[in-house]
Amino acid sequence: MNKIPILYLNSILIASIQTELTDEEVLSFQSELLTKNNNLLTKGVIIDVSTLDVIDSYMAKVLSDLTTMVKLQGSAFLLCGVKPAVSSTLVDMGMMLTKIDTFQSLEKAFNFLTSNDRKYQ
Amino acid sequence: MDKYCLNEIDSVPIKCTQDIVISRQKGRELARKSGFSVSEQTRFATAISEITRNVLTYATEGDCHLFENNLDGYHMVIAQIVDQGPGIDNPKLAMSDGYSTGHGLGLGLPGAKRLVHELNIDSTPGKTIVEIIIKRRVYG
Amino acid sequence: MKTYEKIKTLIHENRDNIIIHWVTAVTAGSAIDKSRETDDCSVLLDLIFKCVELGYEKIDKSEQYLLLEKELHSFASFRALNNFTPTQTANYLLELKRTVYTIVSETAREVLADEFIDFNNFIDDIAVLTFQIFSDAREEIIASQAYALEHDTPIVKISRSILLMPLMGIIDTARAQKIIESLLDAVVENQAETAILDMTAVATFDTHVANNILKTIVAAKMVGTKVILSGISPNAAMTIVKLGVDLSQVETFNTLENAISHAHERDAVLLGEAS
Ligand SMILES: Nc1ncnc2c1ncn2[C@@H]1O[C@H](COP(=O)(O)OP(=O)(O)OP(=O)(O)O)[C@@H](O)[C@H]1O
Ligand SMILES: [Mg+2]
Repeated sequence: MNKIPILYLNSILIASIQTELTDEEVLSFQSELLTKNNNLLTKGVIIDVSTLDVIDSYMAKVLSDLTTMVKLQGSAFLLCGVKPAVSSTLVDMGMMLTKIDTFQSLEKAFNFLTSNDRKYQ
Repeated sequence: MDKYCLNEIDSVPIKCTQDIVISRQKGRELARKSGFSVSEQTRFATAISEITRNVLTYATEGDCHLFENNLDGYHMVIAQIVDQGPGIDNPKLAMSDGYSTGHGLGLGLPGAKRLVHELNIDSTPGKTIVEIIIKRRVYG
Repeated sequence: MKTYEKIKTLIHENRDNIIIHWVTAVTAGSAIDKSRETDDCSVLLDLIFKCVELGYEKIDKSEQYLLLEKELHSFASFRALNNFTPTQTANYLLELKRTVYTIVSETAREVLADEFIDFNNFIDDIAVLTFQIFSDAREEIIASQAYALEHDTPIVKISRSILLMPLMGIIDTARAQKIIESLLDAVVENQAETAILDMTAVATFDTHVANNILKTIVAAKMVGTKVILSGISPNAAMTIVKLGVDLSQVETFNTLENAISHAHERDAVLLGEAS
């Protein structure tokens, strides 16, 4: 059972991961997100990780897989709120999430999706 | 690995993925209490996460022991992750980037090593200990 | 055993006179505060007098001498800290010698030559000591400045959403880690859209430095900030190519000025987009 609330607003799916998830919980979140996205035909999906203290290689892999899957569904995938310490840890581990579009805050990610001009990524 | 007298602070049995979360939270908390920076806490917790997950993947269960130690002007926080599984055939190979006998990216062990000051593997069939250490100079 | 009766009496009787002349000599042609110098000169002269009173042979390791030494320490360190020149400092005690000599030759020709020579030698010794303390203190200050330069990496806020980090000196692994951490903290705290790493003052550029720069750029991207580079020297450019480091994904600018104006343009577009 997925315990992360997934909100729908302005054709955008927003999920804020507020608690540390077990591997199984991450997987059920992933599948619920993909199902919802498929049903709602969104413009994009935003995942907010601003309260996560640890993103290990497992979580990183899930996020990077999600990017590919959501893009395959024809929606944009945006990540926001990666903490500084989490980011440098991921880089040192060798997990560079460079193909994910990242934003500092949910607000910036949301503005990006709702505005028309996407010149700078 | 038992070269010094260690002060055991906590111990978490690793049986399911929830225990990965508990282990890394406790490791992080210990690092925080011991005066390590936020970034060091994060690195230590992430390393614990990688190594405890290996226990569930390659053995069936194990334990994560957390210690504190003072030696030669350093304050250290240590995690020893122990399992009774098949053991790591070739620890040197296991430590190289991209090597995996499972379906992983093979980044767990070498990645964890880059996050801490020391990573030691002591593995035989039936008993594997992976030890990680972070240290901080203490003055006076 | 030798006594210093005559020179003792001379210093004692002419104390105020000596101080006035001495202060005039050391402050001549400079904007140094006279009242401060008068205090310094009085304290030093009284301590020197106590030593002379004791007799030259007994000065070494005496309580009087230790007190004088302590005073010279704070005197010389103060001068080193406050950018007095080495010449000013070296001349200070030598001026006392000249002052006393003038008074001897004008008013007290009966002071024995060898009595005055011993006094002279004593002042020379403490002058050397003072200069040694002064130069040690200076070296310490220089070393700590170099340390600060090497270890503190300032971050400058150019505008609401642009940060600048000028990299300086030698970037080793420990420092690189600090640079990444403080830059990431700063961009998140300031919600900066662009961070400029200026490389103009980077001493040596090798694979390690290049990899750390790449790491910084990737880590910043993951928190949502774009990092651009400026001021890559010809030498660094050659090294980058020779080492085969791939910086092709990284935006670089020849001067800091160009980097800043690019960051501003980017800002304008992002702002336009949000509204
Ligand atoms: N506790 C263990 N018991 C037995 N073998 C292990 C253990 N831990 C690691 N190994 C071996 O070492 C290899 C490398 O481990 P590592 O964690 O680096 O990569 P991975 O688990 O295969 O992939 P990733 O962690 O990136 O998902 C594993 O594939 C496995 O063969
Ligand atoms: Mg692993």
